[in-house]
Amino acid sequence: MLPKRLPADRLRSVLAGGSALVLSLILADVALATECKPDEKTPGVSDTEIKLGALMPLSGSAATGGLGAKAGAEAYYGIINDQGGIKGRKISITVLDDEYKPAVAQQQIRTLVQRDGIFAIAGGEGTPNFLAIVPFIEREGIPAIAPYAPSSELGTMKAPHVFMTAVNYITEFQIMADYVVKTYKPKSLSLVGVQGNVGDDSKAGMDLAVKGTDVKVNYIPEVPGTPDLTPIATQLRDLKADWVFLILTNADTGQLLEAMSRIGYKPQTAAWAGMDDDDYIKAFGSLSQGMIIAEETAKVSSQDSLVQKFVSDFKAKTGKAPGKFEELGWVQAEIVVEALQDAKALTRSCVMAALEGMKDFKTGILPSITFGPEARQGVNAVGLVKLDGDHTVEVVPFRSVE
Amino acid sequence: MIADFNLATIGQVALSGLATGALYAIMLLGVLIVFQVSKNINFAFGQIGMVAAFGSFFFYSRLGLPPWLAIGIATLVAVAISALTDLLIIRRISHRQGLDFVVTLGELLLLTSLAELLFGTSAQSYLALLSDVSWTIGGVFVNANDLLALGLGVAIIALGHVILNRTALGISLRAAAEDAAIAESVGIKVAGLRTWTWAVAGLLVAIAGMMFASRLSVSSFYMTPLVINVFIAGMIGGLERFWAPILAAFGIALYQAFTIYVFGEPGGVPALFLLIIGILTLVPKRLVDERYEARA
Repeated sequence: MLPKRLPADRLRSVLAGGSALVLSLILADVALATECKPDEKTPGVSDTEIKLGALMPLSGSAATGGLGAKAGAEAYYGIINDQGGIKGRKISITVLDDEYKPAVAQQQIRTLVQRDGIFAIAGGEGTPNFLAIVPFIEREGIPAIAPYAPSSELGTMKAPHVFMTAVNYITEFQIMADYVVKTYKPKSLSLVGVQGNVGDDSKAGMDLAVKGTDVKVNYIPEVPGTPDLTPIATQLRDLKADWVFLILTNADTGQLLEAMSRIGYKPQTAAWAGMDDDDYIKAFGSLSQGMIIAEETAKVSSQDSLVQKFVSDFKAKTGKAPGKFEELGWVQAEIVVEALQDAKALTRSCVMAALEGMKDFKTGILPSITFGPEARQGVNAVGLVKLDGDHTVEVVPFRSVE
Repeated sequence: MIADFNLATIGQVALSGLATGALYAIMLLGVLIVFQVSKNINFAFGQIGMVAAFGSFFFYSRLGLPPWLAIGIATLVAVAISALTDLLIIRRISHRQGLDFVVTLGELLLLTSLAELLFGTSAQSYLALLSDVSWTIGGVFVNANDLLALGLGVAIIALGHVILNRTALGISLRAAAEDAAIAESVGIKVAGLRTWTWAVAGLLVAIAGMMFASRLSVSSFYMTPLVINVFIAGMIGGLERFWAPILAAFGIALYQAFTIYVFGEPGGVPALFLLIIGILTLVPKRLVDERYEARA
């Protein structure tokens, strides 16, 4: 019921305008959805094979993550191939080493696309190295499925070919800093982060968390693989923060904690998800006790039936127990396979259309994944754990953010 | 980020820089003696140090050997690898100029791959080597590991200088470095002497590698950026000299420590290359190029 009577022409005008708005929104939605073109010429797919590619750091200080993710992905594709592949075709995955360096990644993506003729980019590990290849991916129109490259520059329609399943670092560090500020009441926080988008996003998240409080956030950028972190440790000590947040490679995190310990600075610490890794805890657990760690993927020890199936399948395939990075590579491959299976035809546009239609896809490892015609951020949740002895305990369950 | 300075901070950063510089100097001494006697650059040099550190880590953490025994065995392995590199490879290709670069580069990749296969790719926390002993003096946190690095550096450099300049062995080494044919003619076994210098270089990089591992962590790649800095010091100081490159090693470590503290870590590498460009372009050529040195 209208609150008061409108003149007839005014009413007609309002109704016409409203109808036009609704129609245009519907049309816009349809227009922005990717159209599946089964006859589209697509490289990397033959009658017997689907060629996929990924870039990961397989050498250098970030190699642990890349090698683990590679092992996880290869194990999953191996199982799918053992079962007959997808639509009668075996998956061939080529993983090249980008050394976690943007310049190397820019060279290697050309090798994957121009030499190997891949169909799609399947997974990947590392933000600065992945961000460096996004312009090339977009120019070439190659779908990039579930790379682990948390960044505020991805997960939006600015990069429509990139389908993200990693929550960005703004959200991750906002949730983590919010928890620390509310629980431990620190006076100031320091952040040491990989220089560039990774560190900047993390700082932005922490700034959001301390907004409206007196807590100050100091930020020190870092370059992976720096030989001596003592000057950074000295800077941190001089800043006298109660908490130090870290978003560095596992090796650099351990080395910085060693350097901080050597100069007698032992604050409480919080770090990105990579530190909830058995190898890291084994090597640097004694220096990291009480560390709050973001939890982007379910723990390998989770009782979730899908996670337990992953662990047993991985062990059966490789003979080894998986860690967090193997889990990451596995779930990336799982999402890729789901998209390939759902695609009406094995063309790039049809795979993108299939991804846009992915709703509430459950892996057990990640929170449910949902994309859409204009939604490229498939996951928007993170939990928190605390390092206690040689294992982590949950302090905040997966929490979605707006 | 521009940091604030106070005396304690200056002392802290300087101590760390000097300790790092001492370890660079130990490594550089190994590079110098090999270059001066054999005229070879060993690109796998840093990875031989990695073998010593990762090897000792493996022996004490996985096999349960006492740390001193683990360090001893791993050091012998590093010394053997270095000596065998000369004995089995370099000696056979010495007449083919430039091939030593290719061979030692191949050895670098081989050692890295083997380390990944045997020990995995994760960084590991190494023996403390006195990192857990410290005192606070005038606001400066003095760690015993820093003092150990400094002590080792000073002692080894002094010993190296004495051996090279005050002993018959040193005279033989310098003769072999100056002209191998003449040295052979007066009875010096140059080939054997060269292999021994490679062995000593292996010992030196093993010591530095294990010390660096105790300060950072040990992984397949941790020595790479360190050895680059060592080669830079050698380039600045001159590989045919003794004191200039050794001082350059200390200078680079101190310079990097302060530039990283003041400008942040992203400023460290550009600052180092600015320094190199500055030295190579502004300092008179005779001071940076040994070819212009007057020889006796």
